[in-house]
Amino acid sequence: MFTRGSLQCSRMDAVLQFENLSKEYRDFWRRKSFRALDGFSLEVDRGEIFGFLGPNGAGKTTALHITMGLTFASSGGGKMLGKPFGDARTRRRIGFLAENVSFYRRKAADLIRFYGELNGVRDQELRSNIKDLLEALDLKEVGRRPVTKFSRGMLQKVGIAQALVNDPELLILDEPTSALDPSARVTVREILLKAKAQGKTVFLSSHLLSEIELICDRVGIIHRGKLVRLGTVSELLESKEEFEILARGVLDSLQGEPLQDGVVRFVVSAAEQKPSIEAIWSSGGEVLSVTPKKRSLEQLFLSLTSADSETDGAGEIRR
Amino acid sequence: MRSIWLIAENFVREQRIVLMVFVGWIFGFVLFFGLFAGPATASEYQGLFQQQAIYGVVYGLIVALQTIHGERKSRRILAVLSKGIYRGEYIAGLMLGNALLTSIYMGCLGTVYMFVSWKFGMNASLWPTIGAAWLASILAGSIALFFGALLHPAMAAVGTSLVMGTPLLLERGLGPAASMLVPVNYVVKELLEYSFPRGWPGSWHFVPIAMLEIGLLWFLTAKIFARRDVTVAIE
Repeated sequence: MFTRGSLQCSRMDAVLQFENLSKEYRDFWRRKSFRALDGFSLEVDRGEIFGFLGPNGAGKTTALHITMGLTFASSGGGKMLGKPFGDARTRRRIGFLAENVSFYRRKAADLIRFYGELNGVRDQELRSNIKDLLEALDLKEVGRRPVTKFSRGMLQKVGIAQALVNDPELLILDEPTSALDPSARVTVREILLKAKAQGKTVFLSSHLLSEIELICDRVGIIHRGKLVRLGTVSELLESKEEFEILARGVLDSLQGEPLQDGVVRFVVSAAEQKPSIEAIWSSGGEVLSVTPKKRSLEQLFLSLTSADSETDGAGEIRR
Repeated sequence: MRSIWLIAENFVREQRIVLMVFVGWIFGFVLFFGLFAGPATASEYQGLFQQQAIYGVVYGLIVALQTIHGERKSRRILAVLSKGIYRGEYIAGLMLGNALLTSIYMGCLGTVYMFVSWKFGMNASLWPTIGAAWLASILAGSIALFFGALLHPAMAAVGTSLVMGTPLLLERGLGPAASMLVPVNYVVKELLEYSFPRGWPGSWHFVPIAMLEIGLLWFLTAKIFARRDVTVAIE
């Protein structure tokens, strides 16, 4: 259990726990420094697909690398499957895909076998996993070809295959669908949903907000090394500050956005909600619906990560 | 142990082009001497052997200097170290890979010059000398890997040179025994004294020292590398 800003997080079955994590990069002479993470805390539950969003330089990749023990935190810590970050034996139960993945000059199938064996998968299980993954990712025809001849999208598929070859409990993926064509994106989405159905957890960092909206149970938005929003997709997309009122038969003096069949739409703040409804009624109009205004993840993302919203986001997490 | 072997095998695989160039150089030079450079003498071949054996020692060093830097820069290290292996296993794999690489080189060197000595009707005692050069190559590679895990290859080369060069300076005050402190120097000096009929001219006291130092370097490199970030802020 940990407390951060106004949000108190205490999740019973967390597979990934970041606890007040900070990371500062320094140059060789230790004069200049860059704070990539600043008291970052988050818990990811077992069996969920968690979307991790943030602009470039927000600290997403650093956070992922710390979980895998590729980079070490300057302060704070965390646990992955109940063990401290970077525990070598725990990594055998994880599937990790780095951003801009790069591989050795080998045939695709050999490469996946190499990474599988490094994770302790052997013999029949390994052969069967490789066969299934090559088929699922449409790499069967090119499995015996060296990856040096592969396009960026095909390399990304090999990267996804190497992350899945050990049948991991937790998948940590940094931009898994970058460079993939639309059909490959659908395939990856299906693989992730299947993994979720099998009780696995997916921690997904992506810039593709539409992807996140489609498959994620919860979303966390990081900005300047701090978590600035956390919640389910529907919670985040529903505005508690603005409401949409649909009405019919209202006077022209009430300023609204005309829709079809004489329906008019009003967008009002929470404080204006009651007076607006009363104004519609008193003008002889009929209120059809009052709903919290929905916005897209992109709108939310931009509002949180623009320079103006810095004070709104940093230091306080709202859900 | 399996993961160490996998990393070592992969290391050799990645270096195969450079290895082929070096092995081709051994065969090519000997063939060139035998076929085109007129009737070469045994002493000319002996000089060539000494040169190629010393290059073998340096070969292990050069490869090891840039291994970790290259892996980090290409980001290939991320997929490897995100698997269930310890950093110590990774370092051991690279050291074993370097040893395999130089053993292939030294094996080819020994085979070629066995044929040459047979051609000249000499009973050259080649293999002990090859073995000494091989061990020196592994030690040189281990020193280079230690610095290469901490520093940019250019700085690592300076560090490696300092460590390998210090015994030569100490020799002036402490006598020839000082070269045994880092036995790469000792082996190189003895290689320069080598002759086909005489065989390995030096003593074998350097073997336990070299093996101890290789073990110590693995331990230190693994300990230090275990706390090193392998990625830099790319964002």
